[in-house]
Amino acid sequence: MSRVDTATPWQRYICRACGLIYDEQHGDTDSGLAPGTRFADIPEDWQCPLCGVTKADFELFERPTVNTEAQSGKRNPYRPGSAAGVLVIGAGIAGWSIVEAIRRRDAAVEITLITACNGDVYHKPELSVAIARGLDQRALIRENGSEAARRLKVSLVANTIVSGISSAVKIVRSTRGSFPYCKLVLAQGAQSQVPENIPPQWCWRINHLSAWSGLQHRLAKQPARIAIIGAGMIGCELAENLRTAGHEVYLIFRGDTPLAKLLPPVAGQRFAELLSREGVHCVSNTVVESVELLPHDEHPSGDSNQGAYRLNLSHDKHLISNHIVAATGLAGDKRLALVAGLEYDKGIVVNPVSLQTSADDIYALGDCVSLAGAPCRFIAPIAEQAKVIASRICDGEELSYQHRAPVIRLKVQSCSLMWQGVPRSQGEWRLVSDMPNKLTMKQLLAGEIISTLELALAV
Amino acid sequence: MQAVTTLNGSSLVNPDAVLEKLRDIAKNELAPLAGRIDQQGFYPVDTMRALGGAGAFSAHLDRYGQRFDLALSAMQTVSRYCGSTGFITWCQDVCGLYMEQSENSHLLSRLDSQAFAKTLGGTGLSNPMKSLTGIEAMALHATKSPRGYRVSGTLPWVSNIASGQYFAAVAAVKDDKSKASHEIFFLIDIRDRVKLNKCPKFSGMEGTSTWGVTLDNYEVDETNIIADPAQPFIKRIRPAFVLLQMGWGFGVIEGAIASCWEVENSLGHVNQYLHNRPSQLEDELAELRERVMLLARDPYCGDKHHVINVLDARAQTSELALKASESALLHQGARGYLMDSDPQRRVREAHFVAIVTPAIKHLRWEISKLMSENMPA
Repeated sequence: MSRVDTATPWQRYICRACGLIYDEQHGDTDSGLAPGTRFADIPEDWQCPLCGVTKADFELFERPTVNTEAQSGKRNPYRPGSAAGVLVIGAGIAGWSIVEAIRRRDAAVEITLITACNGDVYHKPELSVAIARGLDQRALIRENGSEAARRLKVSLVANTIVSGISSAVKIVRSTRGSFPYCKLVLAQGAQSQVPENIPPQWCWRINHLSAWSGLQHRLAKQPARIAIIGAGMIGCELAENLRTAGHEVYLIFRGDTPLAKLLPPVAGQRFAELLSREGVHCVSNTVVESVELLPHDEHPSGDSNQGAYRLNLSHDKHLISNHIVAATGLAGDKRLALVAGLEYDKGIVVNPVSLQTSADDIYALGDCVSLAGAPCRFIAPIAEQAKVIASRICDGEELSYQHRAPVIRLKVQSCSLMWQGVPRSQGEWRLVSDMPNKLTMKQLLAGEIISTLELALAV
Repeated sequence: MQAVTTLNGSSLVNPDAVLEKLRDIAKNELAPLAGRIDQQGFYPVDTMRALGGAGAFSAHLDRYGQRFDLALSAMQTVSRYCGSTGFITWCQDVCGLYMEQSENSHLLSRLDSQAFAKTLGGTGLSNPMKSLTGIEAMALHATKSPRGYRVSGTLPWVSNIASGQYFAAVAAVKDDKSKASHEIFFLIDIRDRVKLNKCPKFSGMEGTSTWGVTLDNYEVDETNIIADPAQPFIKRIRPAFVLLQMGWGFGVIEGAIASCWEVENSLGHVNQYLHNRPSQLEDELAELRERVMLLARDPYCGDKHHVINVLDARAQTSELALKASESALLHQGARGYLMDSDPQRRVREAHFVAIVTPAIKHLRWEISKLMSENMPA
């Protein structure tokens, strides 16, 4: 074994598709890369452990460090008219991305970051695969919120909920007071929806770290039976992951096949078979009509530490489970957008070039945004969106945003499932090729290919 | 309809005429009393009757067209000249609202007297509003009795009350094991069995006739029940209760802005260096007021988003009242530091806008509760 070179500083590389960071110091032991493996030494066919793209899709990742002393000679930190500075709402990937992008351009501008969580930096796509990897909350946090705030010279207002925005007088109101702003960036993401007939305190929604951590903690002790409602991407990823971790998983969905919005029936059928082969129980054409909390002695596991629910399903069926996970979609905070007087159409409407909302000096990015009438809730476009907004807020050359449909990969191990371009319900699927281990299809709309799909068995 | 004829000719059909009449009373009768009301505890009963006769306390009632916008404007007009009277206008308004929404025929028969201030009524909901959201314990307790309930306990301060008047309160009903089964909401007629305790001196707003109230086995029968159980009723009226208060806050803010303008000719050359200038405060008030008037179109809406918007606007009203009253003081300088100056009184009024239930901290607690995700424990 060759000796590890520790003389050169460790570098980090970011996956352009999903934002995962490869850190040379820590390597990636799951895929056989020992700690200290230099990026240059990684084989070209190595795949992103999270989303499966190859080494070529990674780029060098450098965190900006702020040196105000060096900057102060160039710029007066107090600029009349911008005293209130930049206010960012939301400290997920979108919020921290815009902060970093602004800091790359301007070391001095005052930035305040308001967030409902504690501001810890983590990578949300990892949540759907982290339980089988045996990770816990500590392992997922890349940087503590207050440390990131110090590094980026940001006033972090954590555990604070924004209740209103007065765009006419440029004030944001929150549960910890009002904040005037000069420029406002909305990065508050979207919230998981709870099915109407299930009390929210009975069902998990895995859309942020603290919720994930709550479930992970409950599942850490012993195998449990879990009902996942909804077979979209998150539902399917969680189902396979929880099954791999040794739990008994029921995936309940309305349609004939899982991923019904993304897969034509022939591919959906094949994917359902793969999930079943992994041991996931696919419960198709089924809705949860009601849920009852069971007394302790009726727990399926006999363990009173676990919950126990009876799910009354359609067709007079029922299911007893320890946990319920709802993966039935996301929705933005329409109320806040309307209070602020912002145009809203399934998300905050932004100018597709400048990413400015319908109000002056308010920008938005990430999951809360609607582009051409549709939200785009994927990680890949966020970095570019942040760069464009930073360029519009700070002095210097203004960049223009050009939205590209991201490459979508399902984070499962049983197969490789990938889309180029987001399928739409009006589109028509056609078969391209059907090999024993690989199915390729394309979707057409008005004579144009809008999406191609590749489903390959894992090798 | 007989009820409408009691309006003294200023029919609610013409809101501008109502507001004009109220402005006249507030400016000419109430304003000269404002200092005495604030500091010396003068309770302006005659002015309240005059305001009531002119339609200050009836516009929001279903019976008179559920015009919450007009009720808010009326309260603002009163409060613009005297924040204490603005506050008891709110007390009078919500007491009428409880009586009407109770649908209790005994209370409905007393409603016109309340609506036109022939009688005055208060509200003791500060404690139950805090208790029902988990901030403090319920102050009044009730046990069942042959005629209804017997209520005991002490409320520390209830405004717009006096002997011969009445107010609304809530008590937790306890069973034999002293466990609360539910709450009742009822009207207390202040007669011999009700003890009024003098309150310690407040920093201002002394003329709101605020008393501590002690009940010892006070009998409540069906004629005075507003709601039993109380919680569904309170949940329904709560957005309207909070919404109405903002008319009072708007008046304090408007009065503070007027104090800033008052010295513009003489002090404008130095006041230009102050932050929170009157034009800026006017913009903030206009933006807030416009939003609140939209919310006032559907005052009993129980939708969670509506409730959050009402609470958010109420918190903003407090913050703006604090900001505007401090600015009034800074704009007037030494003149505003005189004990009997308008800005001094405005500062004390704004403090009360900010600490009365729902206080800023209470509103933020509630917003946080409503907007946080509810997950398995």
